[in-house]
Amino acid sequence: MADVATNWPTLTDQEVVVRAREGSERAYRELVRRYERPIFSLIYRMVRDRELAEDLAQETFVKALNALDSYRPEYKFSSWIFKISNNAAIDHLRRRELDTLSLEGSPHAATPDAIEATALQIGDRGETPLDVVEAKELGGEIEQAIARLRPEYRQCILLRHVEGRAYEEIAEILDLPLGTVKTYIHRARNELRAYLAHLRE
Amino acid sequence: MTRIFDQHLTADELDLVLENGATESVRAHLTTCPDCSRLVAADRRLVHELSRLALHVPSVGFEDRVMAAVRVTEPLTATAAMRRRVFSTRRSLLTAATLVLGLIGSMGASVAWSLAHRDALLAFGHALKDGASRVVWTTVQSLATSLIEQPWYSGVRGVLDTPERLAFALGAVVIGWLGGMLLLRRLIALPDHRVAHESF
Repeated sequence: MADVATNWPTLTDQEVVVRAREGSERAYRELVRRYERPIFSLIYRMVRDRELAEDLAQETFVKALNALDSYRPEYKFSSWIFKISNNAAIDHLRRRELDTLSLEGSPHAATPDAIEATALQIGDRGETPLDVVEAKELGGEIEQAIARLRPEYRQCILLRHVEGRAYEEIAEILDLPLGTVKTYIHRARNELRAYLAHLRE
Repeated sequence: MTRIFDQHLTADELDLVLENGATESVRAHLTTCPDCSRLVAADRRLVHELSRLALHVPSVGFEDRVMAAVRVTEPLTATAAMRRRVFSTRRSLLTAATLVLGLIGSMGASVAWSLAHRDALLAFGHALKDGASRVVWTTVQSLATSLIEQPWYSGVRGVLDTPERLAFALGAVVIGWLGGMLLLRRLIALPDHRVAHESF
């Protein structure tokens, strides 16, 4: 009854979580509605596979919503759920990396040469004609450039410039030192600029 | 923070420029260094394009699929929910504790003051009682006076001058009141079957 009278969009995430913990199914749905797009987008851009991204996004929400009791309200709910989704995506990429060896180069490689030396080259990216058409547009070009980044850079640049998260929040989400986050974002921008240089010509 | 004027921008300085927080010296450097200006312009454009990327949307029914796999907590009773809200954050706990302490403190202060000023309270009580009695008595007197002065008063008094007539009149009033209540209840009751145009 109280759920019907509640003006859900005006509630903060923390308030919605409190309602969910009290057993309101509507509150659970509200949390899914608020984050399904950003979480799905982030995971999709990390794994580049729609079906897989949906499975991982679903896994993220189920894990988060079933563990609401362990969520501490003094932290941002967005940071918490992004952290879970990021772990899901990275775990998947690591499993895939074990299956296929490193496609992206060692994360510890500091110079472009070292990255090049530790990376495996992919000849056929499995692009469909639709992918090619999409890539001709700027958004598609950027999406493809992001996909070429190493996962560590990709998650940082997505959280910073697509999701608009603060450096400190990204460091919290990714469990990385603040300086490392800044370095990754700086390098990611450099690489993206290089990948997209042909657009300026 | 000071910087060497002809040195190119550091990563941190570039970030500050992108967030419109560049220092005076950085701005001055940008006016004289075409390399850094080009870098800033390219990064600005890149950041702008990244922020414009559309969100991808999961397929229809995603929310329902998630909800089917989620264990929704058993609904709490109102008291348990209130207790949980109070203890959910340090801030709410602090607010509740402040309110309780304030309440207990003000009650304690009130009791202490009352004990220390019993005579004054008794005097105030007597004065209040006397004043209230005077007001009630005056009201009753004026109501009775105005009733007696009504032109219909003597006629009504003539009709109700015997106990039998008075009982009859009271009975009629009670029956009329009960009838009115039943009629009103019937009028405001919701229909128990569908009626035409109910959607209007």
